[in-house]
Order: sequence, then C-alpha cells, then structure tokens
Amino acid sequence: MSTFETLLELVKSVFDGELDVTNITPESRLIEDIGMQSIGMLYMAVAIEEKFGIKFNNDDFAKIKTVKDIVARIEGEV
Amino acid sequence: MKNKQESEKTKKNEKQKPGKYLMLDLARIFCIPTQLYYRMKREYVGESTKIQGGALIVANHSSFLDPLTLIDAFWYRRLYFLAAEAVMSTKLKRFLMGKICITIDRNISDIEAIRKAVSVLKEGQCLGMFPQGAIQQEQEVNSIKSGAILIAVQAKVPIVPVYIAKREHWWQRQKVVIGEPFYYKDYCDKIMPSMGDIQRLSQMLLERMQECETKYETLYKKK
Repeated sequence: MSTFETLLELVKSVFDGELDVTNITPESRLIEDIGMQSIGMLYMAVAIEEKFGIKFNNDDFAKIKTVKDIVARIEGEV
Repeated sequence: MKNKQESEKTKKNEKQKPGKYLMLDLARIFCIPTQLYYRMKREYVGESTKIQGGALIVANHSSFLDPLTLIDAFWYRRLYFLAAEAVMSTKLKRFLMGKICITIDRNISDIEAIRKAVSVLKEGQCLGMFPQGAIQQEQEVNSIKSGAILIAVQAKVPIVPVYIAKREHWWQRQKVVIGEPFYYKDYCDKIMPSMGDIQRLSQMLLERMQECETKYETLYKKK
C-alpha cells in the first residue's frame, strides 16, 4: 500500500465518515477542498505521528497545504 | 490502587529533577495571601475528593485572576497552565510565567504546545486550562473548544470541570464548584476516537461544566 493510500485510510478512520475520501486526490487542499478545520488538522497530525512515527513541528503547518505535501513530509522522514 | 501508582509516579518525577518545580511552588506561596483574602468556598458536584495523578483542570474564564483562583482551589497540587502566547507580552511576564505556563499560539495549529501539555500530564502533573479560549464577558458557559478533549485523549487523563463564580463585591468569598472527574474512556472505548467522538465528548464536557454552574446557581442564586 502506498503512503497516499495509507494516509487515506487514516483520514477515513479519524474523520469516520465525516469527510468524503473518494474525492481526495494528492492535489486536494486541506482547508479549501477537504474542509479540515484547525482542530481536525491537529488531530490528523497526531494520528499521522502515531502511525508513521514522525514528529511534526509548527513550521510544517505553515508549509503543508495539500495532501501531496503531507505525503512528501512522511516519505522524507520515514 | 491506580491512584496510588499515579501518586508514586508523581513523587518519582519530583525526585528526579530538583528545582524543576521552583516557580510552581513560588506561585503557590504567592497565592497564600489570596487564599486568606478570598476565603475560598469549594463546593462539589458529587464526592469531594482530592485529585491524584495527572489531570486536566478546565474552568470558565471571566477574569485574569482565574489562574490564581485555580491554584487556590487545588492548593494541594502544583498546577501548570496552558496560556495564549499573547499573555507573555513582556520579558517580565515571560520570566514569571515561563516555567508555569505552556504557551499556545492561537493563530496556528500549535502542535508543539499540545505535545508539551500532553507530556506534562503524562508525567502525572495537573494542567489548568480555560477552554472558552479568552476572557468572557458573561458568566454562562455556552461553548468550549475541543482542544481540552484532544489533550486528555492523548494523555489518557481525567478532566476535572470547574466553575469559578464571579465575585460581585470585594468582601465576598470566592466560590468555586468542582465537578466530578470526566473520564473520556467511560464514553468512548476506541483507542483512537474519531473527530466525531471528539466533538461529542467536547459537548459532554461542556454539559459537565454547565452542571457545575447550575450547582452554584442552586446554592447561591436562589437564596
């Protein structure tokens, strides 16, 4: 399973049907397209940290705008 | 048994780094005169028990003195606070409160602050926070942010809701109502609750805070 697919599974479990993952593509923007709020972003980050064993810092949130950015951040550190 | 283990864990942490809690203890000493001035009256929803081990204390926020009130209300524990970065506007404030407060930047998703808060709680310490976000004009607790639940879920600690009543005259006693500890695991058995669960638990926490407010009104407003 690719990092993107694992990430989608994680989004599905974290948001538990609240978000429609079928429309999410690597280019989807987290806030504008997916509709994540700040608390959702934080919780998602915590879930990613647990799943992939990485650590985000505050600067990452300024840089990460799309799903592709998250995948790159995970793959860059794993 | 679990409480005893948590208490031992707290004591062990305290022994490891002498001087680590100096500012926290100084804050408690500083609050002794306020204890005498406020002559605090604590009321409880349910049993009156002392908190042991890590706990997240959440209260309504209607005065800048609320942190001192919480220190007085939980005089037997050291209390860290989660505070907005804007509070630390000067070097003096940063010096005085830097060791007591975990600062959170409200303009960004401050994951580093959340991580620090979770780590303090996992050490077996108490953390106070005001989930309404900022000082409110009205006394009623109408809404809270979900961050408190997020932190408690990560740290796996109970949340203690508190209602701080506003003193209408300087001679009045300070009254606080302390609610029963809220264990999220009693209402959600998932290892990783979903965002929907977080929102639901947050609503339940709000109801617990309102329960404390109702208790205060029943005791003091209808006389």
